[in-house]
Amino acid sequence: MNKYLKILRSHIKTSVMEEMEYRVNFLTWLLIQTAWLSSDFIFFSVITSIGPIGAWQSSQALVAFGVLRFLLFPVWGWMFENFSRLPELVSSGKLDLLLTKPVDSQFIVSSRRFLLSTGISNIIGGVFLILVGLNRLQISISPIQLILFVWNMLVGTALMYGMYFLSVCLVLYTDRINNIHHLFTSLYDASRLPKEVYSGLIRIILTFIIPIAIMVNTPAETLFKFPDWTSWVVLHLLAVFFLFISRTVWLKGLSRYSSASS
Amino acid sequence: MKKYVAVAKISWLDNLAYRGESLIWFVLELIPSLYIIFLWISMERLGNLPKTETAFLIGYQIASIVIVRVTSSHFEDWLIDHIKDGTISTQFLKPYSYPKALLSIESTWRVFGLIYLLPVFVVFVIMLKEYLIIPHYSNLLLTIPFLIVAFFQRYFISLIIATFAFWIDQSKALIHLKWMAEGVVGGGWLPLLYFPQWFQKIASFTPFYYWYHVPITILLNPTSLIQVLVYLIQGLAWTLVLWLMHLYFWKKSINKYSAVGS
Repeated sequence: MNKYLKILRSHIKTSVMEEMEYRVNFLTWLLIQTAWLSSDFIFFSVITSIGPIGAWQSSQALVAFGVLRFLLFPVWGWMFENFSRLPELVSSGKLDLLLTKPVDSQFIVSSRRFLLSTGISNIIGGVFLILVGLNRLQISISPIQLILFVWNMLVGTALMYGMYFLSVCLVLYTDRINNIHHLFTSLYDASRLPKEVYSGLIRIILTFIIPIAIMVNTPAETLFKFPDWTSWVVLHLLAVFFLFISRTVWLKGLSRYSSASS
Repeated sequence: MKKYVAVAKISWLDNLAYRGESLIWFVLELIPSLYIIFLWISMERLGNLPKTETAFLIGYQIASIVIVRVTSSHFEDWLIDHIKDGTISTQFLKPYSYPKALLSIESTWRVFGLIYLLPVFVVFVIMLKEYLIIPHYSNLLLTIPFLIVAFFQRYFISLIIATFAFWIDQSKALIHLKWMAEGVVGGGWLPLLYFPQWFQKIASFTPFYYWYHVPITILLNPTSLIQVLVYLIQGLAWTLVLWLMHLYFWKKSINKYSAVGS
């Protein structure tokens, strides 16, 4: 465990050093992220001006939007940075080099790079939007509610990791799908809407099979609604399930992986 | 001309060989529009949107799916990589104009992409029959020139963005600016009618205005022939400007280029 923490620390340190080396690049991406936040906010404001979104009032939707922006850091700053390289690693045969290292292969492909510039604007922007939304709702958060919120954010992140990793594991089973890493990030945007927006079969699919409807909803609702224990249980069970299934698919995939150059 | 037909044939075979990838690109284009369609339906069911407005908004989303499929260009992302790592050099040794070859590849890609639209339209007709607006065939015919104009404008803008990689390191940031501009200013995310008048006025002075707003307005709303002609002249003027800009930048870039390792 200590070894993994040390490696993780050195990966984070190297990523930060790399970003700081190219300062203009760092500032440019910071500006781009801020511009995305602004354009997303314009989009959100126009939609909420038309009417309430599903079961949420505009202030509640603003809190959920803040949570979504906050969680963009793990999605883009951590997962995308690592998983977007996996298809190329597999198709070029460079994955071999990582497999020979004396550490867990899933750990090494999941933790090599981090993008700090994605984090700064999204975390600050996300927290700001959450606070504005709560202020408009005139809700004060109790310490227990805050702990539950942080816990649910962590579980939601674990669920996202499981789903995202499972989707990119498909590259081990096919000849070439170099754009598979975009699939999850595209679906992630749909998680900004409350699950009540979807009805019938679509709602069941988006809650249990591709559970994008709960990974942002449940943490966000902890802040402004009475705890819905069913959603909590489902969120936790799905996080465990997707972590387990992605691990299994990865290991099975590796057993049939033959290097591109061999 | 024969050379470019041959390039188009190779591109067609590539699309067939890597159909998994092209299917994922299609799904990625479809997802954002799908969740917006669910949002409009949910708003209508909650009584926040009149049925006629819902039908218009759904028609807008479906039309934008077609527009993205038929007119968009995404090659600048990998072209920037090729310019930066020097692999573009191989293209300069071939007996053709690289921008024209790219145009041939992009056109084939767009025509191939239409195949995926057919089954989706069948699903839309079944699922959304109560909201579907069937445009008059004359409106459909009038929209076609605008799709061609939008395709060329997007192609030239993508090429201009890519040529910046010959000069600056952060040229990928420009791709994000393009996405934001087409989403907000072009009406790719929401109809411009929901934005303030001054915003619509500013948008009308940009080429992005002719990517979504103009073609969909002509398709779904009765528009006078004079107005259509005015839009067409303005759209063609922008296409001419972008064509001249791409020629200028490409020529300057090629003169400046020195390959990695040379």
